[in-house]
Amino acid sequence: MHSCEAVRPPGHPAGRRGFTTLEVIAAAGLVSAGLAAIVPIFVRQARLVAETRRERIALEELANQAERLAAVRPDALDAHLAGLTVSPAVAALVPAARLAAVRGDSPLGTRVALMLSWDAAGRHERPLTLVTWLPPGSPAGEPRR
Amino acid sequence: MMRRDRRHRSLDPCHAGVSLVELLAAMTAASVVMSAAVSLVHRGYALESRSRQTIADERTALRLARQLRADVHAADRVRWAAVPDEPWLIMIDMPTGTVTYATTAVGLERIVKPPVGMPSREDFTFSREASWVVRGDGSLVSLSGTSVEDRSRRPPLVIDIAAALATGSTLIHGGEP
Repeated sequence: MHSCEAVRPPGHPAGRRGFTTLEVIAAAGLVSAGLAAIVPIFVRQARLVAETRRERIALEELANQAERLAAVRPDALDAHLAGLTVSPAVAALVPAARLAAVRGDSPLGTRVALMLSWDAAGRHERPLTLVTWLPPGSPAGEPRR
Repeated sequence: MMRRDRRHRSLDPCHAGVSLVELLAAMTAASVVMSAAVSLVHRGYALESRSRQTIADERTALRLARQLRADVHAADRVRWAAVPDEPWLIMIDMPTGTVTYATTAVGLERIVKPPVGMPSREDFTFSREASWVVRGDGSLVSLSGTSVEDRSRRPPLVIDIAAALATGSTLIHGGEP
């Protein structure tokens, strides 16, 4: 019996020490794959935060437009709706933002649906929509003649 | 005798340990992997911190917009500051008291002074300093806030709130707080 047999752990193959190159490459590959899998998660989170910010800005823009509608004279409402544009700040922050409005009259008042779409997944098909009612007593809420 | 032992050490099956070259190579590889991992963890924490602050700012902006519109809609009279450096921005007189929006170091403060009793305060605090501008036009009052340029990689804070006065309310430029 060789003198080093006494210190070799039981079950350890005789004559083998350390790792082979293949094992090291495999381990490095696994670590690299793990790191590479984590990076897209960070990118995705950053995009989600940016999209959340855009949604807040878009929602505020719709609410601001609804407030402006309340101050429009009844005879100027159609012209105002036809010329709706997003504010410069929103145009700079929300890519390709487009604002549209649909008017509907009823005995309860005037219903205006404001829709804002921009370049984001599904946003052109499902624009962010805010519906506001202009009661007959408000400046812009008189029914059309 | 000693030189012979050193030369044949790697051939000795009982020899435990690694050569200097192997050690350096292993340390270099471990350093690269550790650097990548530490950098990733650091970026993760930084991104999480920025995201949390951005989301908190967005939430505060929405709360401010909702509150300001509710106050303006219920107002009898709205006064807005005559000069940009005025400590107060908007003063709203309503049947239940007076509401003042004033600037602070990190945002805005809403102070409610009822006719009887103690005033109450509500803070709209943002994660960075912002400059605020208020404008009045017809029956619309607008409050805009933009963050001051800093070295953070966060997007700038942009807040633009418009509120329409109710019929019969008056909008006044300036006035004593």
